[in-house]
Amino acid sequence: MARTIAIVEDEQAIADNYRDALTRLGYRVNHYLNRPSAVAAFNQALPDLAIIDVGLGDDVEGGFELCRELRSRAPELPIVFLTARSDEFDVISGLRLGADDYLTKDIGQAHMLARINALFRRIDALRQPARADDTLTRGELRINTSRMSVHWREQPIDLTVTEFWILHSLALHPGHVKNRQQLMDAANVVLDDNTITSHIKRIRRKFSQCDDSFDRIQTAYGMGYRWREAP
Amino acid sequence: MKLRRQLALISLIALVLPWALGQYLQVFDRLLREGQIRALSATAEAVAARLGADTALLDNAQLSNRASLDADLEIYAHTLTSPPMVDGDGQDWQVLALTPRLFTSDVNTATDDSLTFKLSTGVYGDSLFILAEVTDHERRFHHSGSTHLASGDHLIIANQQKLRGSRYYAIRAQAPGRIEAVYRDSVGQRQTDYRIRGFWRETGEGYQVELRMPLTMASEGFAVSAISQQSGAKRRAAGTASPWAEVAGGPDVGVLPGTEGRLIQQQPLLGDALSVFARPGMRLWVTDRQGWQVAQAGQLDAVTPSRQPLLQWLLDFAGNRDALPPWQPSHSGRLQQGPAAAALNGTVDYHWYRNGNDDIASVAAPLYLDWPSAGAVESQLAGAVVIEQRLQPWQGLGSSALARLTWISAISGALLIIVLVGYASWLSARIRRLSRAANEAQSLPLPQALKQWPHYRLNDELADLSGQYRTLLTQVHGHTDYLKSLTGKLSHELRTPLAIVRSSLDNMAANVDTPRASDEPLMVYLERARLGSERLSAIITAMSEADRVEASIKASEPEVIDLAELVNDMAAAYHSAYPNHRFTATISPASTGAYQSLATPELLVQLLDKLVDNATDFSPADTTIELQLQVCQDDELGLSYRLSVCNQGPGLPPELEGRLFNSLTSLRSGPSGVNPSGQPSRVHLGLGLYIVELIAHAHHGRARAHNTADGVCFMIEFPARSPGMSAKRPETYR
Repeated sequence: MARTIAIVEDEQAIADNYRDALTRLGYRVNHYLNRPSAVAAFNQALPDLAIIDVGLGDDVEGGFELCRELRSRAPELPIVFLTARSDEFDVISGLRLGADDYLTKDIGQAHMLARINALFRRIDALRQPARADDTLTRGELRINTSRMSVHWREQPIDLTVTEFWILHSLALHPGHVKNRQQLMDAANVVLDDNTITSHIKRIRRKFSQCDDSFDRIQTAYGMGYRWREAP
Repeated sequence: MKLRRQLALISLIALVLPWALGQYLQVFDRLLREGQIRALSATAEAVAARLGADTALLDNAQLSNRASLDADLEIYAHTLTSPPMVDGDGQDWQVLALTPRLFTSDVNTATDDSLTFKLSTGVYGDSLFILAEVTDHERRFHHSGSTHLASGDHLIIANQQKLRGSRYYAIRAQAPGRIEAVYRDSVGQRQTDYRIRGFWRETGEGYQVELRMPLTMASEGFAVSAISQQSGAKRRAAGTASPWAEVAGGPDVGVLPGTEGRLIQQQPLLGDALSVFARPGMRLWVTDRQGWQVAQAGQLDAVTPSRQPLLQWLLDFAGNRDALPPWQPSHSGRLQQGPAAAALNGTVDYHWYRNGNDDIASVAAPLYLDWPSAGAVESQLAGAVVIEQRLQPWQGLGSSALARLTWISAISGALLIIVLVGYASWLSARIRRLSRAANEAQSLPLPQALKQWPHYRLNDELADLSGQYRTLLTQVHGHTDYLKSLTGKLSHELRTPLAIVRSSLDNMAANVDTPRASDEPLMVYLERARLGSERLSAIITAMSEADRVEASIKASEPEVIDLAELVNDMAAAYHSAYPNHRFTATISPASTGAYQSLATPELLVQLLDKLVDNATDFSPADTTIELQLQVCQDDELGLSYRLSVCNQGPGLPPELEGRLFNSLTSLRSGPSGVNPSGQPSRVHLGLGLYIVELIAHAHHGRARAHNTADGVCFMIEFPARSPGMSAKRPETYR
């Protein structure tokens, strides 16, 4: 059965374009112009994935509200923010509300579709038993690429898709410096340098929450970041 | 010229005030003097009129009948206050301070061996005293065997006595000591007159003789001469008896003409008449036609004791006293200069003299016999009346009036100057304040500039100007802010249509997944549209860069980092990123641990990126770009770090001075486009250095740029913050 993707977007043209692209890939796409209509529809049936615009017409923060409602109703549902805004504040706000990813509108379709696929893949992987060969182990770090799960000292670390791919890219070749472009490519995102930096910071913080002395992600000024092996 | 200097120059005009005061004082002084002279002249004329009307008195004083007399033949006898000792010594005469009458022989051809004869004459009581000082290089005494009255050097006295007629005396001595006065009587017999007593004394240059004789012997006619007996019976003579004294034989000749010489002395009767007019401090003289002082009354005041120096200076200045001739009292008995000379020519005249701290006014009026107003047909000049008085022009007002006038003028002038200069200073200070504020407003953010903007309490044009300037400034800043936010807004607004274009293009590309031959041109166009939209996307990203930096500054969390490591790492990174340039990192002093500071590394990296990007763009290839990190002590920031990026490119244009770090200010000219490699070139909106300044401010520091000897140096300075010094920022996002 085709998966259902809900697009909540006040710009008809964009929504139509995305719908065409997603439909072409075999997804079923529902488009809602504003929050009330989306909420009404979600009350009837939940989609498999939601793409939400932050600003919905005059409702400037309507997307955030919708995300909150949706997340409370379906903790597992992948939610992607799509916005014209690119400042860090919005990114952080969106991710704190439990969105799984955050895309700016000028992202290429190929990139967007790859991210959506990745999100579905993670959902699918969660429903299947973990396979050992999909697991990458670096000391106390364990990454499962099929389930897109990360464990540090056997504790799960909850990362977004972007954060996951960044961490994966760093941990794949410990000691090698990955520059920002390489990290962006790995995560299939087009972001500016600052946003990469804040992703790195957020990853560090998530690790710090379960390990105060975490310092494996190192900054190489002017170059990028690297995963440091245990000393 | 600066306002301050203009003000100083203009205030020089205040110097006109003392000058004007000086002029005023001098004019006033002249007026006062004129008034005093007028009073004195009136007195002098009144005296002259009174005396002129009294014919008997003038006759008695022998002023009326002397028209034909020659002053050279007249001898003035001063009225002595004490009798000199007749001992041949002139010492006691010097106390009297008389000016002796000087005669010389050979008037026309004076030589060193000329005979000179100094004659001093005085009257005390009934006696006439004579001191004769003779310079004679060749001296001969009388020879006792001579039959002549005198055979050596001698004096002769010619007189005319009542009832006795003319008589000629030879005053001779055989040796220094007592003299003999000898004459020939009517039968030619040699007689000695013992009424004439005297003493002969030798001096270095000649001899001097002191004589005493009864005044009655000089009542009618009187002449004195000194005779020098030369070798070969030659004689030389000097004195009033000269014309005939040189004749061989002299007094020995039997018949001689009567003498024309006269002895002039003060007339007590006239003096009494004059003393009627005398007032304290005033001295009156009557002279005859020759200027001989024949009567005197009154005394001059004593010299005023010294005054306050300032007051005295004022008086000297007001009266222009330096130009006055000094007072020279006459000791010769004859007034020949000054106002008296003019009066003897028939006009009233006056003169001011300087004497110590005071002035002496001398006024002379002619004295006429038969004063015209007395009804005479023709008046005859008989002499002059001279009045002298020690005067102080400001006396009438009191000298303190002058001082007071000066003080009042000085104080009011000073007040005027203070008020004017003060007002001008105040005005210029306000203007300068406004100018300074306007100057500072260029570099300060608007709220701070407006906070420091001058508020004038006085609601005048300057306050209006300040207000208008303030409004203008607000508008300009509003405009700049609008421009600043415009880029951010625009980038946001443009992103949605761009998303439509891009997603449409992607859809189109997906629809021609299986390209046919006919689709080939379509694919080319699609590719071009895609490239165009990518460039547009880059531009939009660049436009909102400043906004994003501001946002990330807000969200930044400073951490303790090693700045030296950061700079070294960055230099190494740039080395590979910009292969066309060399990079050096200079850390001085290179002590480890000195550069541990609280900072936001991402922001500093971004700052260095901007500066290095600039540096590589503006410096020629293969030059060195220097990254420097220094620890320094700054007045404002305290212990601080200086991070600089220096390149060897062209210097900064002066027109960008002060606004280099402003938003939307760019050095670059020409449109951005596609560079030869086909890659879209970077978009430059003039935000780079603005971002640098934002980051410097975020570190509580400042950004600066200056030209160096071979290029340009951009630097930021920010205070060192040890980990303990700064409280950790509250973590807003977690």
